[in-house]
Amino acid sequence: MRIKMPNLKRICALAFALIIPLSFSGCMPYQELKEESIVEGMGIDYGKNAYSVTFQINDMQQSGGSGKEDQKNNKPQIKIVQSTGASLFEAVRNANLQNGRKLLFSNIRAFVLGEEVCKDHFAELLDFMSRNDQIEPTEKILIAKGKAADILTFQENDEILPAVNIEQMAKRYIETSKIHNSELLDVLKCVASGMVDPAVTAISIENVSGMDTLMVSGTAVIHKNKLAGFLDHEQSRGFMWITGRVRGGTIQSKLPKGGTVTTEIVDSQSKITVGGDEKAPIINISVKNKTNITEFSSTVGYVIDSDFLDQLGDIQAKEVKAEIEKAIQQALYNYGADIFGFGQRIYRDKPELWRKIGKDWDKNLNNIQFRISVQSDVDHIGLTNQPTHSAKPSS
Amino acid sequence: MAVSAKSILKYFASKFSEIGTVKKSSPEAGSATEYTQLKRSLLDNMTYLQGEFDGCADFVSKELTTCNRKAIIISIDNMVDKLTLTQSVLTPLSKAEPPMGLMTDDDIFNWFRDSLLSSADEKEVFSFEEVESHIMSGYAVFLMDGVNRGLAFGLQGFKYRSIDEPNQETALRGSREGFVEPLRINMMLVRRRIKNPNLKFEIYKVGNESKTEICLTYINGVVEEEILNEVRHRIKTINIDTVFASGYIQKNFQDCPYSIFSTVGTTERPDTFCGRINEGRIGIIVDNTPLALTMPFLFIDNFQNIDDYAVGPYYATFTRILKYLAFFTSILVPGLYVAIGSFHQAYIPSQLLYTLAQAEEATPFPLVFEALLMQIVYEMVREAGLRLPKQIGFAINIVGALIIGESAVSAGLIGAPMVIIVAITATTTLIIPTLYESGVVLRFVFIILAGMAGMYGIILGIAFLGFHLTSIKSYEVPYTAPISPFNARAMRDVVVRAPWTILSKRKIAAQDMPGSNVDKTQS
Amino acid sequence: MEKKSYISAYQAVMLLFVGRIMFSSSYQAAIQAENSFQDLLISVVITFILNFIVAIPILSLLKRYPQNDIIEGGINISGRGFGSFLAILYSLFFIFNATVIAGNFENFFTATIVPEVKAYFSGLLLIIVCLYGAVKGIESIARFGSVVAVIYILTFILIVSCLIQRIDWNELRPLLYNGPGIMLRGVIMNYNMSIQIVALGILMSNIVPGKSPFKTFAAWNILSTVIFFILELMIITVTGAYGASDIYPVRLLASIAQISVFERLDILDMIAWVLNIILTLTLYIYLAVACLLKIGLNKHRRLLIFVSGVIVLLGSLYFSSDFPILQSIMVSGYYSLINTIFIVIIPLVLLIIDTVKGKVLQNANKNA
Repeated sequence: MRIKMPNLKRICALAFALIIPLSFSGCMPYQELKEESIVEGMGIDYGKNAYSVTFQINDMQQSGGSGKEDQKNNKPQIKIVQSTGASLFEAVRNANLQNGRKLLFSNIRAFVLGEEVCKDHFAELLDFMSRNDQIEPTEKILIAKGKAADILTFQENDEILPAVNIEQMAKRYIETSKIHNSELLDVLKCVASGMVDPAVTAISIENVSGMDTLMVSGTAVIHKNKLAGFLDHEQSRGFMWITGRVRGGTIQSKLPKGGTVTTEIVDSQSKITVGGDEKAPIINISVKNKTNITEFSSTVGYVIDSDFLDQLGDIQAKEVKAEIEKAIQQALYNYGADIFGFGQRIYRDKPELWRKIGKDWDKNLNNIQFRISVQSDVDHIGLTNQPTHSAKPSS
Repeated sequence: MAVSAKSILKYFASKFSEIGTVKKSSPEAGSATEYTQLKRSLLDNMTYLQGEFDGCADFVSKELTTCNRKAIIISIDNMVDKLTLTQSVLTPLSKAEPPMGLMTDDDIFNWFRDSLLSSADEKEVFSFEEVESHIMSGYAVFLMDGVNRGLAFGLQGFKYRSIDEPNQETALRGSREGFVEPLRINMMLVRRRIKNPNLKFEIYKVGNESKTEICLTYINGVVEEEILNEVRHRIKTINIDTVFASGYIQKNFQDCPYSIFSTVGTTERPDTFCGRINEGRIGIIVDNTPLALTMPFLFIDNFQNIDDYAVGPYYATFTRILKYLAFFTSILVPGLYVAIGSFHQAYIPSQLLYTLAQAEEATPFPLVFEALLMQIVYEMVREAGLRLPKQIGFAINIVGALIIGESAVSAGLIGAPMVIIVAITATTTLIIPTLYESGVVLRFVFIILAGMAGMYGIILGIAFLGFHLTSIKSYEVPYTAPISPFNARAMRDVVVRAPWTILSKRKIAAQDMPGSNVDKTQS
Repeated sequence: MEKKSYISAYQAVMLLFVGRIMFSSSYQAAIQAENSFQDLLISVVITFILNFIVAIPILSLLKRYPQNDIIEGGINISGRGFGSFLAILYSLFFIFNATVIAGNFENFFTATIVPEVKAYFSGLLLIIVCLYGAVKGIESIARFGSVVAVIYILTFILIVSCLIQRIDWNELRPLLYNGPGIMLRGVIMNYNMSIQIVALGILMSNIVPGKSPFKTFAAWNILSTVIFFILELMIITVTGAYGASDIYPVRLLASIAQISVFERLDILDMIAWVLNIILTLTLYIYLAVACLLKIGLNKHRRLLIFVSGVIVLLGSLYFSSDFPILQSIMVSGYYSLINTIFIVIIPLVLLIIDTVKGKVLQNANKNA
């Protein structure tokens, strides 16, 4: 055991080791929050041979002021910056010609891509987002019907930022399952694999009972790097049924004797299997779902018992099957886009089959025979056993 | 005249009496001292002693005649209990009637020593050095004409601070006794707790001028000979003039005296002291200091408190985990805040980002400057509160905490999150008082590193600290054992405090820690 | 009297585990797997078996001379001259590996942490801390190493458990659709990463006497492969074909993971990973200098450490400024050949010389 006493050499070495890094302290870029703008939403358009980017910046810093009273003032202040550039990154940097602060991308709620720019340059847009380290792969990405700039500058009320509003609307897909909640990661995976066509949430400004409002209006379908078209709400839900993403929503069934039952979807599973040969590949889609009765409006009296539930389940299954068929019709046949991953399914389950038909998959799409089977169970019926109706006077 | 005939005479008398001296090791262990035999003549002895204590106003002597011989009782004023001295020594002496047959001076002296003067603490002294050291330790020495020995009576009656609750290490469920200044009282406090003859005390004198007594304490059978010999060797190599606090000699026992972390533990409580000795450690109690030293001392010992063993295992485990979290929080949180707020804003969750951005907007200083400023202000306030009298100190603490922080935020000098960070730091630092000094230095280093190089700087700082911590050894036991050379059984008392059924199984002494290089002779 | 510093077998396994798990997935992007990404899982399993086979010469050499490592064994068997040559070779081997690690780290730093910082700044700070660790000795490195390994495993468990809901098991099919090409390239890449057997060979003299080298090696191999397999599984199933082109896929995984309000966990991954890098770099610099110390340059320990630090720094600056070269080296077969020399051929040669010598001595004893 020795007591380690310092000697001159050790002290010199230590001092040297400390002074060198301190002298480099000017090398590390010290980025203060006050010199950064927090970007909430980014919209990308294309026009006149240049990218036109719209940034929606949360401007509370500059208008926030000092002191505690202003900090409690929660009104969001928005600043919109539009800049152009030959590439996306150049447009981002050109924004600093108008905005005095560096842009901070880590807090982005949503990327909105304009319809025009997706008609031609879809995959190129994604490279900037995947290469940048500040952007998380789980950001939401949406395609606008029209110009992205219109969507981002549209403000219906003062209480909430449009980008936050968009993100929250996209998150609520569970309530209806009529839209697809697309993240940057999903789109990147589809593009990288080359076998699945990306499906992206679509957003637009609709006129609902006289008022313009933002609405998430379905799904945009991309094929061969170009925007092929849009699916409306029903077709989007068909897409969600096939890919097994339905977790909520409502199904309306009309009973043959009169009356409508609305049920809430609790859970769903979908199974896709592949069969057949190269001339006629067969894809079996089997969907199972569980629902609860939430509303039963009928003037005719019914008693809800097991037979009734089975009957209801069959009617529901028909509705679901109709939605699935509509989705396949629109996406696969009209647009020619395999957003459901049927090609990837064949590649995974029967690689030999894929070897034969994979090269001309666009043409071979039309040869697929679909066998769709839906099984719908009604589990819970709520608190009453009969629809609310006036009792028939006993005759 | 400064030089008078009497003093010249005294000088030559003392020189003359030195002629027959033999310099050899004194009977007391630890240091070789001079040894000057007492003379038979009382006059010679007193001349020598009065020459030594010339100018000491507290040197008192009472002459008396007993059994037709001259005798004298010398002591230091206010060190001896006068009432007991009178009752046990002076009164019997004045009434002494030697029994028949005792003629010579030596016989009468032996009769005094064995039968007449029955004091519980009675020693025979042979040399001037012993006489001096005894009277300065509060003994009263009895010298008789014609005998070259003396009797020292331990009738100490000096005033000392009453045994009170130690103000720095309080325990809710432990005893309320803390060490006091006199060495013998402290030894008594320790002996009362370990009633075992294996508990050994060895007394040494350190300090060339002050000749302070220190007591080496250990339990024979648990402690390792190698560590014990090393400590003894280090005591002998202490070369210092005065020892007024245990901290003066603390660095002699540290293996790495220039490290931030101390490998020698201090404690003010006798129960903590005994607990550590029982694990094979060695304790050193220093006279006139209520802080005792224990060695070897490991990193995990900082987090062990006597309260942990008195409460149930669940709450004790919870408190332990809290303490570890508190230590690392107090070191790292200001640095992390500065690093993430200045360099890596991408990692902040959204809602927090808005709050931070608004707070930062209003302040003129960069984050690292704010952090350093607030920490320095806090340390200043704390130091001011420590040294001032209680009433003013209390007021300054309140002022510092509430008003400075609030005013600074309202004035727009610093952001509100920084005040919260300082509050968190202040609270967590005080949970582990023994690591306070290291914690402050490390915190400042991490803030500076964070301001320089962000998260990367903090990681480098952690790596540097890690290499440093794991390379320190305390008497050949690794400082970070049993966390780092890992041993699951030894971890029973580290982060969790296992129930007593597990803790009372085979004892794990300090030298049994994994990775220790001590040659074991104990099983 | 200075006692010799020993580390336990557990600490050695943890140290080597940290070195293996660090960069295993950084060079995947150079393989360009794309749709055949799942073949890399098979290459992990094959490398597991290959490691055992390849380690046989070193393990037998260590068994013959317990308590001696490769260099000391080399000196015993073939004399000082050849032993010194071996020591210098192995020292350069470790310095090259340290340079590769530092270069990759600087590239990571520029890509993710702060883009505008010059490479020598980050490299210099890194080397200073690593030199400090190397000076402190193997005991300190080993103790800190076991703590860092535990931190890494805890971070790993946290990230994996956050990502379980995103696993898509279908990504694992079909295997070997495009033939064994990608799988073989994966085997080469993993083999180039598994040089820790050499490190074990040199560390053997510091491990507590009585531990079997085979058991230590087996423990390391199993631990590293299991954790790496799970990591690779997560990368393939969560990120799919997109992750095949990402240079730092573990960081990608961490940035996808979410816990309640924390939308990205890659700061935890960064902490664990940079600590791993510091530790492995320190270990390699220490081993490089330890090889040289065994041939008698004891007095110049500090100077040697300083010099190797400078060499590593300069080399890493070159690599980080030209990262694709580093990627292509790490997946090339030529580099595997060079590694094979160090891992297999040199110990095999030593073993043969030893056997021949033993036989010659036996014959001499019989004749005498």
